[in-house]
Amino acid sequence: MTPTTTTEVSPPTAQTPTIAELRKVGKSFNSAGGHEYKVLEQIDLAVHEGELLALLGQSGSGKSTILRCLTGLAQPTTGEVKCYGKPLEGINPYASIVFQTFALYPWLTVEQNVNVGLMAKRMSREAKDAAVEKAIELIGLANYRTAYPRELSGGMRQRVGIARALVSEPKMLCLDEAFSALDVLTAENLRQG
Amino acid sequence: MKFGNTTLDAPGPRPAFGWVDLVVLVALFGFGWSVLHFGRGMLVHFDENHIPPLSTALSDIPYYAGRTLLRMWVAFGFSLLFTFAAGYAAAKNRVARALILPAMDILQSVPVLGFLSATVAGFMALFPGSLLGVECASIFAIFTGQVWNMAFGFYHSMITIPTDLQEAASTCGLNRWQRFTTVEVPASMHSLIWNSMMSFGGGWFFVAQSEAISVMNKNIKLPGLGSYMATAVEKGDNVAACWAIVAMLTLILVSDQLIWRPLLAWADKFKIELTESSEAPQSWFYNLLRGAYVFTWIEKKITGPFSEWFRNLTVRVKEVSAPVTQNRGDIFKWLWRGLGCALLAWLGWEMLVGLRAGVATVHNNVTMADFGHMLWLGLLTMLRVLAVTVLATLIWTPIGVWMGFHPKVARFTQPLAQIAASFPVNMTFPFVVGFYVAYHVSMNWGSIFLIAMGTQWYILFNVIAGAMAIPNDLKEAARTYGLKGWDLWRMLIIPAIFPFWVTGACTAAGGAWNASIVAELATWGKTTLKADGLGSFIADVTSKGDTPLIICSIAIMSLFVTVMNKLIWRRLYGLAERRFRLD
Repeated sequence: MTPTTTTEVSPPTAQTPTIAELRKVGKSFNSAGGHEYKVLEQIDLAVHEGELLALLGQSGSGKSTILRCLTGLAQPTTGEVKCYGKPLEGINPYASIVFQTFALYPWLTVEQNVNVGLMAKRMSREAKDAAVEKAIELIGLANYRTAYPRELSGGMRQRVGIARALVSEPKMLCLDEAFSALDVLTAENLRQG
Repeated sequence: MKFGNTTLDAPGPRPAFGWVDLVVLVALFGFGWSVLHFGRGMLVHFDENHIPPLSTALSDIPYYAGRTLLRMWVAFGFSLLFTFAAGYAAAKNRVARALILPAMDILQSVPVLGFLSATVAGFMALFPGSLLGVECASIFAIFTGQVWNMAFGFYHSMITIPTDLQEAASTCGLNRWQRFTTVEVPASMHSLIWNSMMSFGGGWFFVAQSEAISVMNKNIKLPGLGSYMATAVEKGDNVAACWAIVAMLTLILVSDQLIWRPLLAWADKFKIELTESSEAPQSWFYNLLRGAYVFTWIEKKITGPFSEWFRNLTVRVKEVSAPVTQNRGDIFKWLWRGLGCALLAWLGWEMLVGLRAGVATVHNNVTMADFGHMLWLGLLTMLRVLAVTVLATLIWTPIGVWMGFHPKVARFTQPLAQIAASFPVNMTFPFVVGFYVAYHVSMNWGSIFLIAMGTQWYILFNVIAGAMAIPNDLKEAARTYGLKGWDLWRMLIIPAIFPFWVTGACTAAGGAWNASIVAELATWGKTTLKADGLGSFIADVTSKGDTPLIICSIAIMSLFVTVMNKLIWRRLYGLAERRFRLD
């Protein structure tokens, strides 16, 4: 592991099942000059159910890359990623991620953006509407349901991103600098929730 | 945190039918009726030896205008289908990309009007004894005139969709169809509509030209505004000719106001950047339609449930990979690959056969001297194209920059320049040629002006757009440092508008090659004026139906266009990308 990245685990619950696991994962990128640039090396990491895990490190130390490996957005160069004991292929269906840039679709309203999180689920329309409603209530944007992202402030956009990740009730929620644009009070509320 | 009672809920359309709805419904029914009415005219019997004469009665103009408009929209529909298919395939599949991109690159440099004779003959053989064959050839000409630009634009916006938006779709587990409809099409929507508008505008030129064509020693006229104009000029009926021009301008204006402006205003929400743009495009028609309840009703009762149903149909619940599905996926993958390879092999074989036949014909009928002559003519036409580009740049750049710096002026001159670029100037050539005849102007020089008439506008409105896009802080900085005159141009204006100018000049030059086919050989009544150039040569051999020479001359023109693209425009584009990007 790059020396500057540390993990804080709390509480250590080894008994609960492992959702996702990195085994001796390494990841390197080829820079424009053909030079190989190593970001991760020999990473071992397991995420258990009910566990809160924080990755701390300097910018550029590979925190986001670890998240991308866990969610299946990036394939490690060496080592393997496991999901409930089976090797992970493609996107991790149990994980959802809140992006650093929030990645909201500018052409969809708050409601529609949150609904994207449920698109792959086979549910009735009513059930979907209810789940979206609940997620929007949770982040406190009930009055902004039909607003477009460009009409919202940075922190509000981030909350929409969080709602979209929460709405599918994932086993594992990856937050990439998720509270960076939030005011202290809302961040605290969401931590409690 | 409390937000009080502030809501951003839009006031929303009235939940009841109003007079706007009535108008919309009447318009929809009228639209359906006219498509049927004008469409029926396409299917009539056609005998190439007894072509019914076109009337020049003013009362027939609306019918002819309808036929022309229908042709435009049919061609546009096909262009849109092709754009989605080719752009999607090229963006998603490596093999398809390696084939489609170079093919489109070459195809877009082939002068559309040059191979009209071949397509007319081909389509007439497909639909013997029906006007549909000629109709198809005309539609095909419009299609080839507009499709490459649209397909390239769609491909480009597909590959430049921000990565995080793509990844968000991946983590939410969207399937291909959902990804296409929620991410890829919306992200490309703005550029798609903009490119469609430009291509559609370019299409008027081809529709006007392809309605009245002389191929294989025959004059074929399709009912339409272009042929109406041609007939009026033949008969020397100046009043009818003027009315045809008025009708054409009206068609272009109506299409712009009722279709493209509303679409642009609607598509503003599809812009990727999240900052509120200061000036959103406005359209009175769009604002009117937004008040109509009909659309809300249709969305709620018909399209909404349908797309929901379709989405549910296409959703596959993703499982963590089990070995069984893996195998089946592999089989399908190989099946697809096999099919693709078979298709490619067949296409390649057909192309080889066609190429051999073409080379054989050319080899037997065209001498080296002919080739040399055509190359020389190509050089002359190239000089004309370059002259048009340089002259138009020198004249329109200062004017365009001045307009762009005065937003109030630009707001109405920019659409005007767009409409001028859309107008098929080939309709007005006979008048200019009449002037040339009267004052004994040499066509060798006069054709430069004819070519410029249609293509200079692309440079103008791109320069206006570029000048308008210069960020205010850069302008203010220049003002605080007291930059004036040539210094201001050198340090700020030229670098800032350069990328826009390259786009405009490249389009203008491409259009100029096509225009040379109609601009170097023009007729006024009984007099025919001809300039020495490859364009007039192609027009000449096309009307005679000399196949080997048609093939050769078109190939040579394509070669010139491709070489110019590679040597000049690619390099300038590269320079604009590297040095003068404003972000």
